[in-house]
Amino acid sequence: MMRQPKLTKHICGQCAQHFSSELAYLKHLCPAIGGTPRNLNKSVSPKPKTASLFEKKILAAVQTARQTKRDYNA
Amino acid sequence: MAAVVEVDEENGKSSSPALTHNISSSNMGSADASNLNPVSCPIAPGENSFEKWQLIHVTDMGTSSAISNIRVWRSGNLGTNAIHVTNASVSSYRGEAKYATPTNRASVFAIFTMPTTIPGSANLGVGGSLTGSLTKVGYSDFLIHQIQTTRSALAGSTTVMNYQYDETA
Repeated sequence: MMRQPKLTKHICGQCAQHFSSELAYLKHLCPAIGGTPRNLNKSVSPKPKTASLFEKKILAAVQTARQTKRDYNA
Repeated sequence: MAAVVEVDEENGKSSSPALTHNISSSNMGSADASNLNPVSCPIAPGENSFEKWQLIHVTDMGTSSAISNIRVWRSGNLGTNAIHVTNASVSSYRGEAKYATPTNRASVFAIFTMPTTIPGSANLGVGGSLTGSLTKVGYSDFLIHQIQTTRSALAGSTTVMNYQYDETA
């Protein structure tokens, strides 16, 4: 069964925001649940970004910088 | 991914209703309102609660193909001199009810006793049929229920409403 969209107001029962259409409700980012009503199964918090700081890469960057400086001064 | 399903409640005049999605309680009281506070909206002895008009709403099918076999019941006992009635029924289901402004007069829709254990089969339909199913986003039939009391009713009790369905992969 589809709800008749005509005059029905839509309210989010979790954050109490009002919407003029069901689609607007379904797309809203609810602060109470931390996502949209459609993506409750998915994690909406960003994954922590892991820094890639391997010693080998740092040494290579330092060596490249030194070589560039030597070339510039030559 | 599993389907995303919520319980909604419709309130207000039938000419300009409001649909509250994903309700956080099914508190019954002396107001036509979702998520109501029963302390500020008590049912006076001898009176009825306002009817609840609720829906099972599938907002995303995920990877599932069907939602069916909806069963509704209450766990826990009411206080004495109070009854809980509903339109949900395994054997005498009357089909899809069209929304009507909720009333605190004795409901003409909710005429069966609310089960207090899980029904053996569906007692709330989809598309007017207990064997109906949702294969895309949409709604069940309305679940209508009401608390009715006598003048001897005592201060209330807390019980739990259960909404169960089968999800087919």
